[in-house]
Amino acid sequence: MLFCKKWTVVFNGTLTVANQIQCISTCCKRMGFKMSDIAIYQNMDPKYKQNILDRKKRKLQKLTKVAVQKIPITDFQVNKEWKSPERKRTKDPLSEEIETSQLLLEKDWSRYTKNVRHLEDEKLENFLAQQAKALNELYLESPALHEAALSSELTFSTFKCEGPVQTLPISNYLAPLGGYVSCSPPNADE
Amino acid sequence: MSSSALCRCVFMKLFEKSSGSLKTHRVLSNSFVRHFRNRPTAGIGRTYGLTGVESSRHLKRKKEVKNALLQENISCYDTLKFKITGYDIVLVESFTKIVHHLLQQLNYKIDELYAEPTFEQHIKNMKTSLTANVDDLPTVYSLSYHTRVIKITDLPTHAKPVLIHMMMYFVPQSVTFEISPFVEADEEKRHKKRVALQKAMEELKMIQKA
Repeated sequence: MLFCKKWTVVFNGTLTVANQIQCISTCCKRMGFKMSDIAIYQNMDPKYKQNILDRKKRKLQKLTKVAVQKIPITDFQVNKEWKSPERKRTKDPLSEEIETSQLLLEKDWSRYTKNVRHLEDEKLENFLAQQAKALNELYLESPALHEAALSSELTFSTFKCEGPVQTLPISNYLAPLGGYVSCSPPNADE
Repeated sequence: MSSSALCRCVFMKLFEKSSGSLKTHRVLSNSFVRHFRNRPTAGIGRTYGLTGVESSRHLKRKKEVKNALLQENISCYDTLKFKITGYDIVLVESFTKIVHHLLQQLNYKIDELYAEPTFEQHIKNMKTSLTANVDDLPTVYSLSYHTRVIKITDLPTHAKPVLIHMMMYFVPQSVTFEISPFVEADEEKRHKKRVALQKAMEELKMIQKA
């Protein structure tokens, strides 16, 4: 007797179904057919089914009791091999002149960064002061507009900003063919 | 040329470039050598205005505009998240530090500052292989993608443009930042996938249907 079997074939990530004819005889016990899971449970004794249901529910309860674990962050994990004392470099002693010049340079740098920080703080303060002044003036003009200005953006979509680039993009550049594959973080599944 | 001298050359050039606005600084114009306990101070420490005339200059800097109107009705966002992402961990960390300090300076309620798990991105090249399946191609680089999230509650609406302005001023190269409302799905990203639990739930559903 001839039977027709449907095989699902996976090729390059796409599912294609191809019909193939396979010769099977009805004499053998195992024919290679399997009933779907739903069909098994439909044709079962109701008592037996209830037992299975209870067991599954108890298992679910046990699993839900366990607290959710967080994925560990591996950013600052250092390889143990790198910590061996053999890899440590020796420091040669520097002359006094070089040391003093280094220290003076550090002090100059700290002075410079302090000034930069003051400028940035001033910038922020000026911005806030200007904003407050503008809102004041708006209130004097019309309180309704003042309220609208403050409460306008309560529902907003995401704001995204990309940082600057070190080098400008090359014009008429053909990137090589390939792709990006992002893996899941390590220890992401329990 | 020694490395320290090189550093100094580079630094002084930078200093000269930026000191266009700093030339009015008092120390540069009328400073004198002042020692402390018979040791040189290298210019650190105050050398001017020690009689008390200096105080007025410092008072000018604090421009606290007390706006009573603003304090009456402040509309706030529920919970926002500032997401900072990039491939260079040093730059990402330094930028998060800057943003954190900014928010602390302005006294806004920071709920949590955490890192989302880093994952690797493999860049694959199709040099000689003819397969179209990306997984089979050879990897040229594997870059690790880092994310840091700052969760803020009750941020007033008038503060958002200020923060965006300052963040855009500070943002370094190759780092992107995103401001969006905080959702439950963001919290679930940090948790491990419970495979066994999901399977059990699916099985239960199937049995109950049948």
